Amino acid sequence: MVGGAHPILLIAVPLFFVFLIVFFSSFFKGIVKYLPIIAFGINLIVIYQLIPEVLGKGMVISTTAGFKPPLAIDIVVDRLSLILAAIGSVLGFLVAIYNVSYIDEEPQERYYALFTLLVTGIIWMVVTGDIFNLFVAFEVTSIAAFGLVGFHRDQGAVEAGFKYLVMGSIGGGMLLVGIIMLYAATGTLNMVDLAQKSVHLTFGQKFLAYSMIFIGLGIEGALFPLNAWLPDAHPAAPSSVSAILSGIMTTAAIYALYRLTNLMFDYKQIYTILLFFGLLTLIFGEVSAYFQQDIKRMLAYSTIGQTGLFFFAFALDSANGFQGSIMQIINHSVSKALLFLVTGGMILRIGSRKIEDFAGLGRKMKFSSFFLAIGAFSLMGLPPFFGFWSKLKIIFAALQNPNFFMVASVVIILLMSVVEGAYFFKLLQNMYFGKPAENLQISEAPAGILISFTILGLILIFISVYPTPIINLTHQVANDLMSKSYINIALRLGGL
Amino acid sequence: MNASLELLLATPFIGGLLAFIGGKVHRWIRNLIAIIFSFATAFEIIGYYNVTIKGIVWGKLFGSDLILQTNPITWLFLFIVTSASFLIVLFSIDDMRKEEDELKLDAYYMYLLFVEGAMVGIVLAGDLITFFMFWEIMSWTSYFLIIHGGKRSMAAGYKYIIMSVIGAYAMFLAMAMLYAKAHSLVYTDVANVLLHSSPAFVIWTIVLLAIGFFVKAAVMPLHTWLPDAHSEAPSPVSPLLSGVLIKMGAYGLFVVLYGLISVKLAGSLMPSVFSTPLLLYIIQWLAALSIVLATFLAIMQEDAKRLLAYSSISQIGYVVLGIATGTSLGVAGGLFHALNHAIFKGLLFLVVGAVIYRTGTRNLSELGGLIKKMPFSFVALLLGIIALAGVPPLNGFVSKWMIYEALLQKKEVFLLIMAFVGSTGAFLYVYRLVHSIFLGQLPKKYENVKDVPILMQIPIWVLALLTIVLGIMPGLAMNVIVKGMAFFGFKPIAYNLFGFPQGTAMGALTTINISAGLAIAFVVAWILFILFPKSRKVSQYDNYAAGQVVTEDLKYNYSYGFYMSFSRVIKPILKWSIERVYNYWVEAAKIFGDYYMRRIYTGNLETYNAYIVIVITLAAAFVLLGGKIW
Amino acid sequence: MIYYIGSLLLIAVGLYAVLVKSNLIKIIIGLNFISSGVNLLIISVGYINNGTAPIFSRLGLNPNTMVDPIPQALTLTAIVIDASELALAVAFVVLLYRHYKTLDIKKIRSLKW
Repeated sequence: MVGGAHPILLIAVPLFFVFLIVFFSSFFKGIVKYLPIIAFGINLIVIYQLIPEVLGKGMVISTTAGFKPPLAIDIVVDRLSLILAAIGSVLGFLVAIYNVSYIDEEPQERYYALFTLLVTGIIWMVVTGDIFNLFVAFEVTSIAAFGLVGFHRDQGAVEAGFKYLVMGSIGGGMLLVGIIMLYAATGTLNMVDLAQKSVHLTFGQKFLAYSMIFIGLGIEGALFPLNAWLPDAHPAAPSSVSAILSGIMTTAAIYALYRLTNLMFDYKQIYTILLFFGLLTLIFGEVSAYFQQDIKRMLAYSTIGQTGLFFFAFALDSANGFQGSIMQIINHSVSKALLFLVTGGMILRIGSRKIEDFAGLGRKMKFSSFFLAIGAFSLMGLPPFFGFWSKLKIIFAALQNPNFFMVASVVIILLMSVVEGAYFFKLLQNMYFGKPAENLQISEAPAGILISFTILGLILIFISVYPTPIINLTHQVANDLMSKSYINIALRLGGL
Repeated sequence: MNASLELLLATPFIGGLLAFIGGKVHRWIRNLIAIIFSFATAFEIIGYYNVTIKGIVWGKLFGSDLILQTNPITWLFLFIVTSASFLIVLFSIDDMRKEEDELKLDAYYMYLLFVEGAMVGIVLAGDLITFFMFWEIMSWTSYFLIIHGGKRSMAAGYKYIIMSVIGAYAMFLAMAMLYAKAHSLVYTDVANVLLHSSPAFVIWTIVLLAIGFFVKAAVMPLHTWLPDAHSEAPSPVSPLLSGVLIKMGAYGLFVVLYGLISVKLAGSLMPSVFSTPLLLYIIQWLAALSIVLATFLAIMQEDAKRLLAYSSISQIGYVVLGIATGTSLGVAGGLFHALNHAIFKGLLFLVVGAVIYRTGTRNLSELGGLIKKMPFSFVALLLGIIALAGVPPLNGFVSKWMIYEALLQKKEVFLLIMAFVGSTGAFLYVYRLVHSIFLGQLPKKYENVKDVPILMQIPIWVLALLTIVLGIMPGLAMNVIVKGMAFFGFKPIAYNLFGFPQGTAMGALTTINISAGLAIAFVVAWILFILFPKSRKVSQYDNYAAGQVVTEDLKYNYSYGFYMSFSRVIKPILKWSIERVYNYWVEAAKIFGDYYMRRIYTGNLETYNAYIVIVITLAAAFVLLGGKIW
Repeated sequence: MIYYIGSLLLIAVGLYAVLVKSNLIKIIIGLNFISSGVNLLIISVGYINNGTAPIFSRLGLNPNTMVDPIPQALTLTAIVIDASELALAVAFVVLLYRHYKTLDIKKIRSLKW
């Protein structure tokens, strides 16, 4: 443990609360729904303590089990991890508040246990410094997600959950194969150690391992064509869970891909392949989203599209691209979570997921509609919202060295942005100016829901109006990635 | 001074927010805030008259400065934006009162002020990021204004926003390409880079930027959103769109053509036609086509606002035509026409809005005979259409004259003829307005109609007065335009308060003489009319048609299919609708997306698993090939 | 080497089952094949012919003949994960059968497009 901050608490505390939830559920059920709030509240405090140290030194490492890495598993928080862990904790905290009003279906204690486990797994995935530990976190997240997707236990939820489970299990298997290949070739599981030892491997060896890891994380991270589970699973889950799944879980898997690609597989060829994956994901996501009648399904496809966008930006393999990608991740996480939370409240009130049934809600649920509009605007990349800055950065980065392929890609991205605008404006128009079905008698969303998405919406407005700190931070992160300072700082701080 | 540019930019935005919050308290607080802040914005620009501020940095983004600047041309557009917005806010107070939903009204004033602020931002922008940012804000805020109009306006607004977004992204692409080269998007830096770029690059940049501007300015063939949006928008929004918003496209075109590149540079990059660089020549032709075709279309309309909307396309064609001539006189004419069009088209839309306010319809064939009931509106409309048709002594004449003169000097006869045709056609359709709304037979249901409330009359009269003032004293506007154009490197043109002195290349024009002559002729005719009355006043129904006595329920004046025979002649030309081409492609894309792309997610788990296996196989194949397929 | 081939074959068989079989139970068995194959792969990575357990149970054991302990730890973890996944899958199958009255995955496709 280094200094005053203890990154391991990020995982340990919520895991402890998972057990507490199960423990209390048998005799003191009333308290169960408030435990996740406490857990992620503590997480937020830990994150807050970590901020100065991580920003100052670039990284905080804490080791486990009294050994030194690479023998022991270590928890490594650098700037990129911190951003994602912070998003994860904030979302976890807000959605925990949301849950209080939202979840009234039994068995509640299992929901809360799985929910806490899901968010913990996600945070775990982004802070771990050990590749097998990454796999464990990945599986913890996946299993919690499988369970939560099927939580409603109706026809759609079960079907989506099963499909997700089959695909996710294959993905987990492939990821493990890739990890074992790396281990077989280098004899270590620590990421920093791996990065150093893997330089001796041939490209073929590396690529084989990489493709396995890519398939594993790509399934979870919603990359086309591995993402077929997503449009089923995200709508089928309770909206609170959809917000986590769309907002941060796919992003966490993408983070792991970023990290591993950047540390070990930094080849031009690989990045070129990734570019195509990003573009294809973008195209298929956005085009499919346009044709949806079900709002949550539409948002799920839009998640695929956004993933494609920031993955494309990452695959540009330049500091500007990385920066744009991370900015877009932040934008996507906040906005998409906001959209899912708001629509969750609306669906609760009107009892339908059909977009046409949202007609006239703009007047009945003013706050919800307002924040829905803001989230949609930010996703579309309209100024002055944060999505505008990130899209600007991505396009600028893509055209840094304009050649035919890049210009064509940018044209595709912009066309897809038009498609995105088309379906979001259709939604907003219907919501604000559509004729409500008969005399619709509905009120604003319940308090817990309202509070959580209002806070999230205010965060979005704040970073939209004052993006400078985030732009600066992501600029640093991009430089970290470019210079692979992950390795250097980790070595200096005794992460190895 | 420096901070106040930011203040000028912030005023409407703050006003919009305050108006929205104020609306929660009371609607008059909201109205008052809207009036005060729109007036404050208009008031603030007085301080910038003929002031040039080279640029103040208001922010920094990705290593490029965000800059605000002002010069006399900026001031011209600032004047259009802020004064028109103020008048429109005044007009809205009464006109929008029929809207019962207070929340919608709060939002309405907020968006109105936001649009104003965004346009102020566009005009003040000293770099492309700022420009583009406010451009996009303008797009979506004006979209919300348009769809205030009800069910049909939703489709119109949707078309508008999608086309705007496409145009904006075309600009965005150009911007990004420029950024890659210049690493800064400040106008001066961009201009420097363009000076040393390959011709292909410059041409692509201009074309992409021009697509964005042409969508907003509704230059054919990118105009298809305008007729729907302008006619379906609420009455006070139409003048904002027609008078001001589409001018932003013209302003953008001006900045790009003369701020980022220059005619000389353009001429050195591409062949010239009629001593005009080819690209400019093409733009001229597009503008001329807009003038002619939109005029024809306007003639055939039955809907007063749709008629004016097509007329806007035609008039903005003059603006673009003037700006694209590249000569001092032509550009000055184009800019002046932008101002004039804002005035008279704003006036016309407001009068039609007033008529709609009282009668509830904008269908020309249902109206008629309102001259007795709304005399003030009639006079204002008369002034507006005289100005629009480009007849002296009102303002439309001077600017059109300058554009004709510029074309004549360049010997571009075809374009000149087209411009003339547009002007002549304008007589036809504006006459339609007077005839169908104010003359003829008064339908029974409008017996009790009277002129609109005073708050709605003020904006109408201010604009009507301006058409006369600028018609007689064009020098007031030329003051600003010529100084501003010097800033962009144009040779100054000689002018005085009442037109252009003798002895310059373009010949003399003295509006005071023309006006005086006209006034004398008018007075003489009037005296003659009084002295030698030949006609006898009779009731409207003391008449006969087709051998029958006219009764009140029978319409005896033409109002539907007014120019039937003319339409029959031009119909073959208008058979090819550009809109249908777009719709065809959109439908084709939709079918393609729906039937092919969307079938990827079949719902069949086996298919999904097959995707995974395919990826695994591809990866394995890649490794077996040694990882060297390229 | 034989272990590698064996484990890869197991994975391939599992993928085949998941890909081709339409019975839910068979799909789950396929998943299990994959995870068994992966586990075998992990073990074989650390395996040494005629190796001993990596425990210094008596003196004189040569560390070079010991099998690598880490893969064994990994396998244990992986087995636990696989088991929980399997349990969840079976639970889903029960629920699916209640809703659809069939075990044919081809007929369970109410969510599409």
